[in-house]
Amino acid sequence: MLYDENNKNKKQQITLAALSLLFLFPSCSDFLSREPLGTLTKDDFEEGGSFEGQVMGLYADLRSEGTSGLQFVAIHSIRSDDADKGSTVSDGIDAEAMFDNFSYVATHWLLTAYWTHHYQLIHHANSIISDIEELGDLSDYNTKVNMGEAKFMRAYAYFNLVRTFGEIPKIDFKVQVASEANIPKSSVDDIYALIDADLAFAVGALPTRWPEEFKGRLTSGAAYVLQARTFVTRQNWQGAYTAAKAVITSGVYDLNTSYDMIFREVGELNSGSILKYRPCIRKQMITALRMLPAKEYVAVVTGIWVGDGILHRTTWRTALLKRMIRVRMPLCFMPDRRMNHMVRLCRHLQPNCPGNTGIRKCIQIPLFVWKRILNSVNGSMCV
Amino acid sequence: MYTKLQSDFTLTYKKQLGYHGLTLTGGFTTYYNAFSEVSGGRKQYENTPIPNELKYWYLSIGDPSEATNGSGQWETTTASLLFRALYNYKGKYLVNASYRRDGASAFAYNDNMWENFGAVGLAWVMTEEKFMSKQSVFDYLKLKGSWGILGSQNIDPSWRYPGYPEMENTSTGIFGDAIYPGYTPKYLPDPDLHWERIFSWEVGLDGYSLQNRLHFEANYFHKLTKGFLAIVPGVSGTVPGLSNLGDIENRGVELSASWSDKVGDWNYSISGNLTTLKNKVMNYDNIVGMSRTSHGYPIGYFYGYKVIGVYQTEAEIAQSPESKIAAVYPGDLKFSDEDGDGYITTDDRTMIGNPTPDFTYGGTVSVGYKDIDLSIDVMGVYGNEIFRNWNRNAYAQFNYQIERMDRWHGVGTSNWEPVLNDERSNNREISNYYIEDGSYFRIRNIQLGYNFNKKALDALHMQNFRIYLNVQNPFTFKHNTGYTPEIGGSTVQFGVDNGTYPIPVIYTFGLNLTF
Repeated sequence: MLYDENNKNKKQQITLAALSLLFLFPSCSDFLSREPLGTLTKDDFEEGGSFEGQVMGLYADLRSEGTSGLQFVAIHSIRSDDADKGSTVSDGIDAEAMFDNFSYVATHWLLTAYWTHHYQLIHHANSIISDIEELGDLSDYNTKVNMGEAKFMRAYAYFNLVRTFGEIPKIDFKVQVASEANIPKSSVDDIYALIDADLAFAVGALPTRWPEEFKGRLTSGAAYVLQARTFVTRQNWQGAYTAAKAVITSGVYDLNTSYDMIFREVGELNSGSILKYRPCIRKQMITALRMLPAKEYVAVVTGIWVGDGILHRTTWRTALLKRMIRVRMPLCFMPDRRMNHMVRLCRHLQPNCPGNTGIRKCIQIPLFVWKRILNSVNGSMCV
Repeated sequence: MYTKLQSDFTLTYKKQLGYHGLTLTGGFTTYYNAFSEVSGGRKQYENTPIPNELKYWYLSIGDPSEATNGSGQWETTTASLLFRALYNYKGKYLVNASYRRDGASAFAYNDNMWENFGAVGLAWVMTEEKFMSKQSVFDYLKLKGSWGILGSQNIDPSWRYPGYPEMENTSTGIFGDAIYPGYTPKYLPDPDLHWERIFSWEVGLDGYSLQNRLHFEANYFHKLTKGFLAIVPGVSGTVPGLSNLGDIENRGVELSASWSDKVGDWNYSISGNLTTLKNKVMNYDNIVGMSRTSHGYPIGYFYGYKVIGVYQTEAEIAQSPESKIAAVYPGDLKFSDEDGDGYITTDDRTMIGNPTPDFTYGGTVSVGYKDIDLSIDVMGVYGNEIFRNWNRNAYAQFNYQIERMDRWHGVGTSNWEPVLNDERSNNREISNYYIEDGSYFRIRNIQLGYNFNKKALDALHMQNFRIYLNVQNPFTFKHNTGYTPEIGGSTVQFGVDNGTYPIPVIYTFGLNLTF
């Protein structure tokens, strides 16, 4: 090769190369600047100045497994005996050792996701708070409400974490690089100081009521209730009294809904309801599972085996409203570690239909399919 | 639809002036890679199924109110400007120098898209020298060395825009009967994402000897990767994106030799190669499950507790350092108190294994006699460890390993296999109880073939007719309990056996005909 003298077409090559260099060089950096197509980036939000979309993300964070799923149930309900592990003796026996007998293992999966998902909520809230401080205008009503929501969420997450773990890292800033989140623990008092400050802002910033299209969104009443609970936990009776009194006298809430109605469709968002997690299921997902159209069904999920042996005492129920199915209970379904476990979905026969014997037609779907539906619940908009 | 547009414009100039040979190359290349898709779907009417025939499977059939659609699209580009000069004097002294300026769209958001790289190489063909002309041992002998900086944008293909702060709309806020889209950041983008730079040098020897029957090559290489690109799980619920994490030093020796000869109707060849690899991480620390990558250690080493036995009695537990990681009972694994503080804590975790082999090797033997030929390929790795993760969890239901027959079931019954009791979380902590030897040897390929005689083929107007029988991966000799010793993974976590699917054995019988 080194001695090969092949100068054929050399002139043409030179011309072609020179021409293409001329054409391509000036636009080179343009050629390399490629933006994501069909997705929004943070820059789009900063230009628009609206924080609403990101705040909606916080409400979705409330429905993650760690904040309202099995991990939440294990830590807050099984430990207090509101719920049992259930299942056979050997199934999930390590979880029973932890949550009934308090013999903890730090690396257990029921603890780690609780930690991670709560901090995820905190990171997302921090990001919004810092963006509003930098770019937002707090004299704008909507921006102030968004700030109140973000601060409520942060206080809520820290209140759960501080009760569960005691000393925890206090991350109250927007994390730019992951290593910034790796900081030493703060004292319990410091965490409560942050919670108090956040809630003091939230009670003033959040509205007392929302119009119909936002029914169930965070209100100042919810912030007062959370405040009261943080005071009760610290035995600050006077503070608890003041905060609770503010809710009672607000005229927004009452306890007139009888207990047996609270968890039914008619009792949804009743006058005693202060904060609810409200996931929904996409109608297409249901029909995609070759079930009959969703509008004829009430999905009754009874005694779900949640894969790791923890069975909540309450029966998990899902109900249909109009064109979508809503799961009204906290979602508590674990990944498909046991594919053979089935979920029953039952057809609800109209009670006033002639000849109705009250028998419901049920179909069974595998737990992993159900899980997939629920993923789409967290994952996508409903029709 | 995938689009790939590559344009290379290079210009080469060659000149021989007496003893001086010069080749110059300059050029410009661009590469554009894009994808776009539009998808749509329809469902059948509730009580009117679409017939199960291919000709009805179009989007114009079915219930229009159930129609769905979507799209996906991305584009990435790279561009390079390059120059290279090759010079030789009498074909004896060779010099090679190159320079390139590379640009990639992956780093465009951070304004780090352009980076300069280059390399210099020197070689000396010793057999061209006068003092070597009288010897007959070496037919060809070359000494070579090179030094250079190269760039890599070794990015997982799912990351097209790693620098952009993308937002995800995978969540919703639900109030009353209304649903609102929720946006959350997809990951934390690295504000200073840039090219991975590889500083490398190597020296080597290349030669033929004994009438060109023996070929040998030996190289020593040293590569320092600065700012290696990888994704790691975040701290406390953060979701980091792709990032330049730290430095990795890789060094080792590559040896290869081959011999081929003919004796009468027989011909044969034997070749073998061996590569050693040692790596060390610098300026970085991260733990992903059982895999830790930290300063001064090999990449992705296994990090956990050292087992020093099984607790036999309550008395033994009382005398041993107290465990702060889990409650322990007789029959549980006893971990070593590495830091000697009198307690078993997370600080007692240490290096319990290395997933990178000390060396890998391979070889080929082929023998031919007249028209029959046989060749065998082998390969192996030595000195790595595998982390057995497939049976570490309690909730999966499967048969226990046969080793569990020797479990602890009373004082003195075992000092390695813990008690059979899923309640004992202690025994599922990451420890060298789960470490297995990852060395293996595999016969990778065996082929037996027969070529029909040329004369017979001429009558049939054929040039070549060969039949053969081939077996791929027939035998693997391994030590680990999983299905296969070949366990992949990511940059910072590999060699963790979660039940990795084995490679298949393939038997092939073939005919090759050439007219």
